[in-house]
Amino acid sequence: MASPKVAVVGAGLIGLSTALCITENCPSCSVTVLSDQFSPNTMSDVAAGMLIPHTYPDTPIHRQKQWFKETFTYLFAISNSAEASEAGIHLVSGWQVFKSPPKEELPFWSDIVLGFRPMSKAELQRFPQHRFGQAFTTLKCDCPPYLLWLEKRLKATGTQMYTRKVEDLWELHREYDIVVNCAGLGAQQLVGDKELFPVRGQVLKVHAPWVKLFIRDGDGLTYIYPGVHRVTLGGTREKGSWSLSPDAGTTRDIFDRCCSLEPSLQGAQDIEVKVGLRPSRQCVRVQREVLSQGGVKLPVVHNYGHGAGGFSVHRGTANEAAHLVGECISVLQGSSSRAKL
Amino acid sequence: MRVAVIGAGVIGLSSALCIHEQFHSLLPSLQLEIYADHFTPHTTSDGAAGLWQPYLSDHGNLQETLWNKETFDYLLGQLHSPAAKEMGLFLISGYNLFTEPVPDPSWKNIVLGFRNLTPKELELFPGYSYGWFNTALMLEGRSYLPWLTNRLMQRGVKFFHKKVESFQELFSQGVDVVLNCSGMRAGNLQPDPELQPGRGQIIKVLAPWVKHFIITHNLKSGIYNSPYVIPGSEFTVLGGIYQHGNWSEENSAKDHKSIWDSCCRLLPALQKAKIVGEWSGLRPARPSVRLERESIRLGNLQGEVIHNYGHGGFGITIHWGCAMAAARLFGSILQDKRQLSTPPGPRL
Repeated sequence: MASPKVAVVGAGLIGLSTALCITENCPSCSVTVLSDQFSPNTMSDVAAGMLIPHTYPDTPIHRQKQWFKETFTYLFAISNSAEASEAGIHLVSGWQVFKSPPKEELPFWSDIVLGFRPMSKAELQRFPQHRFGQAFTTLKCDCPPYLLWLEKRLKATGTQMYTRKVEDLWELHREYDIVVNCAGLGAQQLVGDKELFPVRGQVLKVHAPWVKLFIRDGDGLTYIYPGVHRVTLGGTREKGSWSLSPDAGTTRDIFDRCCSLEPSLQGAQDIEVKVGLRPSRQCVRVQREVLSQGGVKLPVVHNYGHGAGGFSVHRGTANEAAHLVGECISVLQGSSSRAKL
Repeated sequence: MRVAVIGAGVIGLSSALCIHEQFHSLLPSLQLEIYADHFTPHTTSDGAAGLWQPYLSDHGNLQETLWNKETFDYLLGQLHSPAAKEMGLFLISGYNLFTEPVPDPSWKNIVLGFRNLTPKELELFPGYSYGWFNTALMLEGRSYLPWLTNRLMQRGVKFFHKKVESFQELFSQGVDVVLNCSGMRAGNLQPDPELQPGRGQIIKVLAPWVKHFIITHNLKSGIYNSPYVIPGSEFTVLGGIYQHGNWSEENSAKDHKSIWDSCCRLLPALQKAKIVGEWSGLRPARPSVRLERESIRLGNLQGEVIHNYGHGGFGITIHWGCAMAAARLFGSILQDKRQLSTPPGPRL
């Protein structure tokens, strides 16, 4: 197989980063990205893009840690380079505060982020309703810039990108040798995954350029994440809600909760309300599969179900998916050489 | 009781506000006037980035360390007030970088979360092998000075755009007490060979992805003669110039290149930053801050002067502690004049 043809379905964070890893892992591959949406209209564009991992209940911790470490290392290098501003990657320091004792004193990712330590008494005094806290420095990926930067890197490798809604993976079997499913929430319909469910998140993106630190409530519901141009205020975690329409009452509630953590936000200007649906699952599905229909085989690599933690693990899962694509190619090459005998 | 403040930088305005806040109700005859040849945005304080950070060493000057602490604690207390944004006050974290281990600074317990840098953090800054991380405050002059001005105007304090040539000038007009907050030009009012310019130059850029201050130190070249990057609310300040004895307020092409090259080496992403301005200013440097009373007798004119100048590159850092001290000196003047039976204000 001289030049395996790989189709990547999905052009959000996972689709683009997976496509890029495939081009890096398999330079002879011809990669095409197919998606009904591209940045700035993907679900990923709504996210703040903070590297603070979400814990997947059914993925082994060492695997999540490996994914996070690879992602952090990759982005750390970009943040330190001349490309940082174009890619929208930057370091940000701040605080995670808890009203009641956190489940774990030391989360699995504490030695990967920078300078992780408990907050001092003086720091906690800023949060009279909270009794515990963690201080650290991590990375943030601003979208659309990061997605657009990934698209630019892909185009430089010769990867084609087409706007196309794929209704069924079998549509692709004639044109492509391998299909990579990075459809996020779309996988529910595309491959009938009933374990996938949306967790609705509403956020406000505001102009408040004096906010330089992130503040996050350990319950994950209230957060203030300063981006390059806008600060993301959040949020909600509404399990099972498919609604993409902003809710005015929710907007008021998010604003109030964030102002109680950072009163100066009262002066925030130019409030934009956005809604995203986290493509959630008990464990991220990074897996290869061979679909079979009427004697025809279609190798598929799945990479979806990242829920609230996509940005934190994207590069790690993309690397793993690219590796699985490599395995698919070996199998195809093996069987094609067998066919020759 | 006429009080004239000379100077409308951070020192003049904050001293005036402190005195008015503490004495106006106790002294109904108090008339406060501010005289300056430059007002915001044309003062030295307006050019400063606004980062609260004292020099590395206090040289045993405990008084200045206490004034710095008073200022930080006061500002921290203002953070959650609705005025914070208007004041140009906000929290900021960042890095101090060194090429060798150094002792902890006098202010390590004043700022929040002071700690040494980890090896991984140092990877961000090739060439630097030691450093500190802490969370401090920004107080942007471009917002703070107008805020102070508004508070003063609301209180009926009068402003005069006038260059005062001598203390006599004011005493002969009936002023009782002069607050000398004339910064770099104090020498014009009364010779002071200890007051020297510490010339600085800065480049203003748009680099909104930079969220931390980064101050490098070269122990051989001295304070602020090593690149620094300080992100403000509207633009980021690049600097690294401290020229003792240089009175020029003209931007130098050589200094521009030095700042640009060294800051881009420190933060490669800055190469893509758009330059939106450049500025030179003179830090009013002195071995220690001059904050003291002086009785001036000139012929049949007599008056009290409270000197409050010589804050070098840490004016914003120390301003409130000095303003409170100036107010205490004012209280002692009033006591001496039997204007007050007991000194007012908080007992420290």
